[in-house]
Amino acid sequence: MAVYIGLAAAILSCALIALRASRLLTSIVWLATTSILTAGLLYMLRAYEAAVIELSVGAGLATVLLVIAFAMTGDEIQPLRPLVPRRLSYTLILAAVLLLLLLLPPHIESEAPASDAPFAVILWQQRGMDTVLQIALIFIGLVTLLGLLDEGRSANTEAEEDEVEETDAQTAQPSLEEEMMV
Amino acid sequence: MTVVQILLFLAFFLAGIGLYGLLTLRHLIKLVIALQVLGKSAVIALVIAGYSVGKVNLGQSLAVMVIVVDTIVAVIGLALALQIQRQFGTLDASALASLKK
Repeated sequence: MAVYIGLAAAILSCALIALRASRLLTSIVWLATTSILTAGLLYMLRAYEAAVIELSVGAGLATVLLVIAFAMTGDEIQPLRPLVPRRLSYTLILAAVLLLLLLLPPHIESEAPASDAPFAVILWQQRGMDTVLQIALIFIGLVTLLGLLDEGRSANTEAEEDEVEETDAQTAQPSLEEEMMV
Repeated sequence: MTVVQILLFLAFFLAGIGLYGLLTLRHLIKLVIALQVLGKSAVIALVIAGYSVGKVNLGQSLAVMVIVVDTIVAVIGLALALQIQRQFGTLDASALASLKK
């Protein structure tokens, strides 16, 4: 019980620090720590496959993506004024959490023995359509990503071509003036 | 208090922290980080729900889907953030409110 309480407190602390850190790289590192602790919690709950995927995707792939984005954008100085006023945001968050707590069932079975089908059977047979849709979603995401990055590259190429045309026009003008002088 | 109740509280408060990030932050990449925190709360809640009824594998199959979809959202969100920085020169979300001007 104490282990679960300590792990829960650690996850909450790391998540809060990740969002309140002033530097972006610090936030990314704390988010990775949150992912690692979450994977540990999932492992303790006997969700081994989810723990491995959370560790590899959440703590690995997502961290790499965020670090790449940080490297491309730089560490911009964080603005202090929030989008929503702080009091309103705290009230809304408290109300949302209280509503969720009220929905908590009064009787919750604790530590029931696992007696369901194997994970592979559930993933590929019972929820096969969900898995296929998920794979399709991955491809859609990749295509969207390529489209977004390509749009940025083509916009930069057009800007460079416009600059070249302007310099050519500027270099051509003095020669016409010289001819008129002659 | 049981383990399931403690971890459900964790999931709810983690969701609250993610909501706090979405409401108060203006940096686009940090908004993506807040979305990641929200996704983790959903993953924990799903696994806990499966654990409480004795069907951990069902809960974690749903959790795996949430992890994958959350990562795709993060990828597309980061790509959009890069494009916004190229267009506007900043990652401040309030700079996108160009219609106000």
